[in-house]
Formats: sequence, structure tokens, C-alpha cells
Amino acid sequence: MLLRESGQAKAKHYELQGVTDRSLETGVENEDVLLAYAEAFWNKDRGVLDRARAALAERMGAGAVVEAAITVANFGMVDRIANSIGIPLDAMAVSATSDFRAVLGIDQFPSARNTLPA
Amino acid sequence: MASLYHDSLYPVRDKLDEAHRDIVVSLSRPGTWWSGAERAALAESVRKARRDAGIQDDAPEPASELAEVPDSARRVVSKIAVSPETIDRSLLDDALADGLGEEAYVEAVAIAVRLSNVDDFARGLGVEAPALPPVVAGEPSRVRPAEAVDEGAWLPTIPSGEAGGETGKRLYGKEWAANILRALSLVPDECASIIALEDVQYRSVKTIMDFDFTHDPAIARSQVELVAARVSALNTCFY
Repeated sequence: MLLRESGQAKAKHYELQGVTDRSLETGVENEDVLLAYAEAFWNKDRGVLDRARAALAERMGAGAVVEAAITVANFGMVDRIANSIGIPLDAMAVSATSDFRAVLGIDQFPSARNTLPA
Repeated sequence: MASLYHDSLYPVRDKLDEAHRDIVVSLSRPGTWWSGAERAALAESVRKARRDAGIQDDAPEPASELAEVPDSARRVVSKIAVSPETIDRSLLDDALADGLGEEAYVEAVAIAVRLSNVDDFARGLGVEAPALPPVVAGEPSRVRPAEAVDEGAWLPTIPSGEAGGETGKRLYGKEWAANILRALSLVPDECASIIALEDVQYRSVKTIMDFDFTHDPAIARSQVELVAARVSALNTCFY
């Protein structure tokens, strides 16, 4: 996850806990429509995704819909690979992410056992 | 040739369209461990699982008669397609106990993740999932790369750098490659496909730390990363 680094590159601080705790805001511009769209992929009601897509397009334009869609698809692919092959997190990233992993509860994910000692 | 997503209200960039066309075509062709008919059958299992789970929009019927494939392989691709957040080591162990080879498992994973990727994208745009072309006859090559070794994943992978030998050099060039890019390297052709997709869909090794790089200025890098992080949280993916 490079959300923190993408903010640091622009001298901005994002509240990472907002990624897992949706009662909090991360501070990323237009996060309401972006997250509503991303989460709608998990909804069996196609109307929810249709409405979220339309809201995203109205706020950010057609290009943002395509890029958000491919980001959801791509990270769905990456996550499926990681979980299916049991790859550990790259060594350099283990220590670099330990602070926010603990806060966000990521260390409790089942796939954490592929990297962290039980 | 018409765009794969010609009926989308949202124009899809050419490289993305081409990359997805390559995926669709490859799923009906002989692979390294599965024939074209078997790959198409596994792809159809992916779509059936997604339909049953309510996350697959319309998709055309298969263009060819599908091959018989082991139930163990169908179980693997179905689980990966619809419930990746529940996967643990038992998915692999059960498949191996049922007689599926390590390499066939990796290729089945690749089929499931690449088709889910295409179908997720189509659903995101609100268009029909692309049709798979007719099956191409031929035998899988069944070549296991000698460079694959235990690097800490459940299955062997090909290291980057000198240890990766000629196959590693072909896959990663001179670049360091993250674990996720090497994950499917027990089947090098599938690994190469994922690396190419990452370049087109997200970032290459060379641009991943360039936070000004964008595929479309309509969305900033921080917004891409926010979506990516939320998806990984929903998939409970530690990586």
C-alpha cells in the first residue's frame, strides 16, 4: 500500500485508518465517491454499482471511472495471487509498514501468517 | 479490430484494451500445463462461480465444447474467483492431495485471477464480459523451469538477479522484482503475463515510485492508492 507515500510526495498527510474504519476520513480528495464505487463491486445488487459509477463519473469524469475500475480489478488480481500462492511480504516492506499495519488491524488478516511468525 | 469494450460509455485506453484482448485469447489456447480446451473449461468454472455468487454480469456462452477437468482444479479456480479473503494453505494442500501438480495449480491460479480481472473491469464499466474465442488445439509444453526454488512462498518461484538464471532474466530483465511479480514464476508464461498487466493496469517497476506518473490525469496517484488499499482491505490481503 503506497497511500502514505503518495501523500508524502505531495506534502500531504492521510489518515490511513480510514481505509479499514469507514467512520473515519482519509483526507484524500473525492474519497466518498471513490470508495463507494470500489465497495459496490462487492454488492450483488447491480443497481448499487451503476449508481456509484454514475456518481463517480459526474464528479471526476469518464477517465476516472476507467482508472478506478482497473485499479479495483488489478488489486483484486494481485490479492488473489498473493493469497493463493502464500507469498510473504517483501522483506524491506515488513519493517517499513509495521506501524500502520498494527493500527489498521492488517496483522490480524489470515494471510498475515504467510509473513509474520504465528 | 473493434475495441473489446466498444459498448462502454467510458473510453478505454488502447493499451488496456489490447492487454485484455491478449488475456481473453490466451485462455482458449494451450498453456504450459493445461490444453486450450481445459483452460477454457477452467475459465467457464470461474464465470459460473462468479454468477452463482452474484458478482458476474452477463457473459457469452462458451464458443467451444469444454474439456473435462479435475474437480480439484474447479474448486481452486472457483474459490479464488469468489472468496479470495478465505484462502489459506488448505487450498493448495487439498489440491495436491487430490493429485493436482504444483505447476497445474499455479496455471489454474493464473487463469482464475486473469479472467476475474477482466470480468471485474467489465462489470465496473457496466458492459458485458468479453467472449472467449474458440479453443485452439495443441498440447501443453509441460516444461518446469529449473531456476525455481523455495523463496518462502508455498510454492517455488524464480528469483530476480543472478540466481534467476536465463528465465529470470527473460522475465524481470535486470530489475529487482517484488514477490508479487515472481509469485507465478513456476509457470513463466503466466508470470510474464502478470508483469505485463501490472505495467498497463497499475505501474511498472520503473514508475512505481514516481508519484507524478499517471495513466490518466483525471485521477491522482493518491486516489488510485486509496482505491487499491480499500480493495486489499476487503480481500483481507496482508500483502
